[in-house]
Amino acid sequence: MNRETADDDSAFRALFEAAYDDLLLFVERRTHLAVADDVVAETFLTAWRRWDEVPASLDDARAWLFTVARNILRNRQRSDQRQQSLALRILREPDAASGAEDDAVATRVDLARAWLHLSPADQEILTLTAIEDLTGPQAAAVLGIARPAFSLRLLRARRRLREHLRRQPGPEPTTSPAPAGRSPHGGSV
Amino acid sequence: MTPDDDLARAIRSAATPVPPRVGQEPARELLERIVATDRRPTRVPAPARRRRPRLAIAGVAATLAAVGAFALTLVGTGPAYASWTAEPGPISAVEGRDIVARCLPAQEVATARVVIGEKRGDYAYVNAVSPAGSRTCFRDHDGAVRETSILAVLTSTERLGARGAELYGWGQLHTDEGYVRLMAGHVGSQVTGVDITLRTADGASSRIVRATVRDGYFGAWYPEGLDESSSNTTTLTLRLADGSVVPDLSASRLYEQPKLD
Repeated sequence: MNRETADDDSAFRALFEAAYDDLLLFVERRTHLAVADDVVAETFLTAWRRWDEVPASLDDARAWLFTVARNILRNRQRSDQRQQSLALRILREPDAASGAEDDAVATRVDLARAWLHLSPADQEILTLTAIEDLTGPQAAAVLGIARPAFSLRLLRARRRLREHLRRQPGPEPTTSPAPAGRSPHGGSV
Repeated sequence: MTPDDDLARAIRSAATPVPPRVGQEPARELLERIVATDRRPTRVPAPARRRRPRLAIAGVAATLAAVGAFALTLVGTGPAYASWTAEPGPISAVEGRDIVARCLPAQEVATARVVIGEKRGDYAYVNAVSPAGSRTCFRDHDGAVRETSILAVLTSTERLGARGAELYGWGQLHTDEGYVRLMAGHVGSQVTGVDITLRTADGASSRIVRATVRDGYFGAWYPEGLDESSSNTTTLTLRLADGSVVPDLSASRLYEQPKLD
């Protein structure tokens, strides 16, 4: 194994460790759980074989993996006779026995119900930034659209989510328990 | 904190938490299986190592950052892709097989069939189909060959019918001359020609690239300018055997969903 190969091996392992969980979640939200592992494996194999093209920064490399995974998913769905789009499995109403505080539970219920009224496209836009923590340019690249178009779509998706929330019995959420995981930087573009 | 930040925070908080899985056996096995594979089963002379964002397999529209990189490349190197032509020329069967052998994973070479092979100036572009799907390859002016797609699974010919079309490859590649866009698609039985119209963002000017069409497939590539990469207004026109045309098919929409006849 030469020096460059050893470096590549080590860098790839670091990317795998850092991005595996996020990538698996990204895929699981968009397809049947039964095929998620295959898509993740194909995505990382693509990165390994084309390591020269993977961005050096971890954040950009993570977005690159998301883009590859989304294209692999699109290929699979294109060949699927049903041609169906799967709604993003992001938010769901908390279990009655979850033990969370009443206000927090109410907020989650409202949000989960409002979320279901959004189109898959709106859900994806909000997911890429709010949950998957991509910057505007990274999210635009994942979707294959220009950044101005992404900004406009994000603006509209937020507006529609707020409209649906206003129709819920409770108030729009303003504060919630701090989530585990990465801090957001994708909220504004 | 802005209202948008509050909304994002609320969404994050409502998402179902999932414990980390990277330490579990399936992930560890996957990692070891991948690093044990040969990175380039059909090795070619390695190009200069570049660790910069490239969107070759992503099939994505250029980001503004990529556009900036494109502009800088042009400024630094003078006329790029000077020998490129809007009309394709053929390549020989031998050349096509040579490119495939240097581009595809070794296990796919034997079963791959070259469905599109074309030359534009000093460059060649090949679309090869195997039972596993389709892959595209680009041969640069210096002879270096690169795979430029992920493996694409195709819509069946039956579903495309007579006037249908599928754009399953629309990736971007960066070479030392700047960015190019590479198209690969599948068309219905009556489609005899595909023209690609590229427009500047303001619509003030446009140019047409003629694709190679053969045996129900089409392929083309073109140097992508700053305005074209950000306008997202590229369209395809299908020319049919009876002389009629199917105009103004948005490339971005076609890439999302095939047009079925």
